[in-house]
Amino acid sequence: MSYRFSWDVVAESLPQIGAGIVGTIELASISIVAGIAIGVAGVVLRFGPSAVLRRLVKVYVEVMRNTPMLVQLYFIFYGLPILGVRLNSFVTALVALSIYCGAYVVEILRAGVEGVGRGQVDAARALGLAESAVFGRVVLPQAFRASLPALGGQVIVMVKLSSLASVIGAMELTYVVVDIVATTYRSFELYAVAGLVYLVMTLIVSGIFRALELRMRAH
Amino acid sequence: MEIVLANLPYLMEGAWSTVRLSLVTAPLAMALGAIAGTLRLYAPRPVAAASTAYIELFRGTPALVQMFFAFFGLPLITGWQVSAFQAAILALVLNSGAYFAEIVRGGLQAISRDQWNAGLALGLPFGQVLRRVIAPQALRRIVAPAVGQLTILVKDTSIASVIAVFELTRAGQHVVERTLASFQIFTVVGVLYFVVCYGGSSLSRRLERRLDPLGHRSDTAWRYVIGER
Repeated sequence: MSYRFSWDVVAESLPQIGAGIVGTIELASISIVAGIAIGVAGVVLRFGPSAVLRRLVKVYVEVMRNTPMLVQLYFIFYGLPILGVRLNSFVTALVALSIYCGAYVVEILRAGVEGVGRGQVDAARALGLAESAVFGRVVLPQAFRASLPALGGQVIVMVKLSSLASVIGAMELTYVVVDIVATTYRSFELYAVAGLVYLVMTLIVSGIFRALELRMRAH
Repeated sequence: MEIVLANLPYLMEGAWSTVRLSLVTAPLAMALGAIAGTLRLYAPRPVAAASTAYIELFRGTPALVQMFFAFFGLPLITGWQVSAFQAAILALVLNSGAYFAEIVRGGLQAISRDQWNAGLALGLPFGQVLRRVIAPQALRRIVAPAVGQLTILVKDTSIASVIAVFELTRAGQHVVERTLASFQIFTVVGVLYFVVCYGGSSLSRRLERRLDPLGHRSDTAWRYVIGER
């Protein structure tokens, strides 16, 4: 093994790496919040009275879940400008990640809603609650609580998936690291550090969600 | 539309490469997952810990970074010149192996202690109880999520395009560079992935219902619809 490690490169590029981490956190957190908003809207339609809208949500979910994120990114970034929709790389990444995340959140919440069970719905209706309250105040909160572990998993998926935004040039950790490698050739050290940073981020997220679950269970 | 038709053979070639890449990766990843998942549960401490570390490391980092590391990083210290195809297979096997391992672990853990005790009480050695009693039952719980994981693997092979492995996504990029018909071509590429992956994910769902060990028939008699009683 004649390779000489040079961790100085990592030390010298810490400011850029830090900026990349911020980009990754922005992408992941905004897309998860937007994804949950889309997911809630989607699940309302998914259990709503309109058969057409129910179908539409199903199609949306299946399309997003059965095509690669990378192709979705390319489609929005390179394909949509032909229709006159031109977004910069960071916004493209945000939109793509949010729409993708939304599809998974719909599925997660759907499973949660189905798990709530008939008894709760019947009881809420028997108490004379309006239908909007049956869903919004009885079914959905319980579905959310049951879905917490799966939602935590989805946050981790989004942190990792945001790395794909680098291929269209969005400013985030992987993009920054690829950039530094291009000038320093220290691919081993830099990709190892990038992996480590992602690992720390995903461990922190899973820690947060484990704590949340414990708090929820205590109630 | 003409552009799509003219380039369809090339895209199909890419699709075929994606299938080939998946077919090479899948058995290796499943074997690795079966070993790592079992070791995590039943191996002596240090081995189990190593297995856990492997699983958590690869589940906690992006496949893209793993792919870059395998292609650009590792050869620096090993000195082996690997092709992009080999690096992609290495990264994909290690990545999905970790997910398969968790599926296997979940399946094995779901089998009740009583089954273990009964097997051991009959005088069967540990390995035989695992192989003859536990594994067949666990398999029922493993098949459906494993098929789901396979469709994720097919999607993940698209990441190999960033290190210039020829497969469907790469083929799509080539055609776009030549024709500039990005909208149409990426739509077709998406449709081709969808055809393969939708087949896989619906099969997974069907198997889940079929192989449900508790025989839950989801009560289709009742469908919750907001505003409908």
